[in-house]
Amino acid sequence: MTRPRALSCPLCAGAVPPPSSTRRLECPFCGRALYYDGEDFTPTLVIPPRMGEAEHRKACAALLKHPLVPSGLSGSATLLRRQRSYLPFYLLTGKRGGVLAVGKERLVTKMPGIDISAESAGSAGGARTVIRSRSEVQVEEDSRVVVGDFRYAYSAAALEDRDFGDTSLKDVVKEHLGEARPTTLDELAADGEVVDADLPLERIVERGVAAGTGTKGELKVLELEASVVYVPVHTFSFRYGRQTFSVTLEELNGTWLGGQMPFRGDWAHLLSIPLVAMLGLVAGNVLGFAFKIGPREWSAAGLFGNAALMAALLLGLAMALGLQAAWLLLRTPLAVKLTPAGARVERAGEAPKNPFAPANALVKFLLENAMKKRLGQEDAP
Amino acid sequence: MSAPLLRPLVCARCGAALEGGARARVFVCRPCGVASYGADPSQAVPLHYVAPSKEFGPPDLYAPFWRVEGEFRWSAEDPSKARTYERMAPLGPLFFPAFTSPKTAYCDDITLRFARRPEALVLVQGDAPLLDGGRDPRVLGELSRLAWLAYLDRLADVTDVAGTFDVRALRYVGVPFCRRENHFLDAVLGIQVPDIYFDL
Repeated sequence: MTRPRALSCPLCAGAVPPPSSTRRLECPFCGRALYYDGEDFTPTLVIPPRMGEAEHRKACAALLKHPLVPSGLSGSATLLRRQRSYLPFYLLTGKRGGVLAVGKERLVTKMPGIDISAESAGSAGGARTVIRSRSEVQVEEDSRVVVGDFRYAYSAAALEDRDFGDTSLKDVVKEHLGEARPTTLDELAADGEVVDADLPLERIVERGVAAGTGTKGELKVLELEASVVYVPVHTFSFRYGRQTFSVTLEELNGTWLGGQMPFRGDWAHLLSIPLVAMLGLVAGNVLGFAFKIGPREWSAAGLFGNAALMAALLLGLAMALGLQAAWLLLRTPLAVKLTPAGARVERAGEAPKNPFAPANALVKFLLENAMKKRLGQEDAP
Repeated sequence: MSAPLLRPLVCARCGAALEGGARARVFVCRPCGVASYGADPSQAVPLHYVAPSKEFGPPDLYAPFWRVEGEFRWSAEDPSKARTYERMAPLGPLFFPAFTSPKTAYCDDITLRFARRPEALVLVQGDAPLLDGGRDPRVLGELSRLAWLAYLDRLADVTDVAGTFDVRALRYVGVPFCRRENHFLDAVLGIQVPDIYFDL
């Protein structure tokens, strides 16, 4: 995005700083009202935050009471930092029009009739062909005159380093556009961090607005005005236990955009108790069943010959896997991920190394050997 | 030589201060009765108002429109289309919003309805304050051509129909609107628009 250079007043020749919020400005020397007529000007607007201290507290209190976060979080978490940031969006408005070539589709039904073609007349007995009714779609030439305004909002900064996308914010920008007012970057910087609009406007226009034109017919952009709209978000960073978490709130609708919260581990513990108990029950039954089988049946052939024993073995394997799942549930670091759609639990770090791995390898080895032996017996003459 | 980037907001003819808000791109000189886009004196056009009809009461605001007079020429290869177009009632001056509106679908409707009732839109002198004008008049020729083609399209499809529009006269006109409970009404024909029509 190019910015206007320094200018001089046409009335007193005094240096005039380039305009930032509106085209209208005042000469700092003679005080006369001036108008900037350059094409390289992009107005700067802000949608003022609708949330103050009280609303922040309310939103945070609701978040800390979320069922997925630890119950004592509000009492034990320490707020480390809170900061307002202004995220830039390009607002592209204008008029687009032209004559669009649109095909008009018509369903044509051919009525039934009798065909006395040469082929059918020459056929045995001079039989006549009866044509059944048939429908087909015919496309007729048609044009439509289209004149309409467009209004697009695109993120003007890459938000990769933030843990939320710009999709939901675009909708917020459009929803609150009526509240936008001219501002300056200095004014915004006094209130919070201002994120640079570092994506080139030309590329956004080319890919966004112009890409939708000229597909069919002569639809073209007649008028285009771009402005940068800053949207306020608030980030809260806090410490809980040994970890630091941060969450971001957009300050127009009060929606949590992104961030991570600690997951209440007691849920994982509670879940693993019935899981292990159930597995123990299954294991007991499997062992009891295995002891009922005579020792002679413990040979490989007997093992695979007995379908019931086979099923019990598979069940035992499933049980072993279930035990491992319960263990991983207890040991894997989990966190609550915030999204505009709601909160969800996700892995917050690498899962610990599985201590059952040697046992898994041994079971795999035994099974493979048993299978090979079995297959070898079947192939023998 | 390129045009100056900074223009003083004073009238080049009489020296009076030009009128326009923070987001205006069209400025008005009251003593001279003209309006100019980008405060450019070479683009000054006469300023007028549309006389409000008494049946709607006193207007609450005046919204600026560009009033375009000109000549539309068309040519159609298909003789049946040509015959249809020849029978149509001609449109009067076209009114395009000069203000920025978040709901412009209504603007196109107003343009056509005003153009079909030119006798109802009587121009008078006035001094009522206007909403800020921001629309660039350079696209009015193309907009007028498309407005005419859209009008033709209502009668017969405009495939392979060519049209040109020559702007003959341009005016900056304040159109009166009356506020109702949750909408506005134009004080000439009584066309209803939602209150978000104006970026107030």
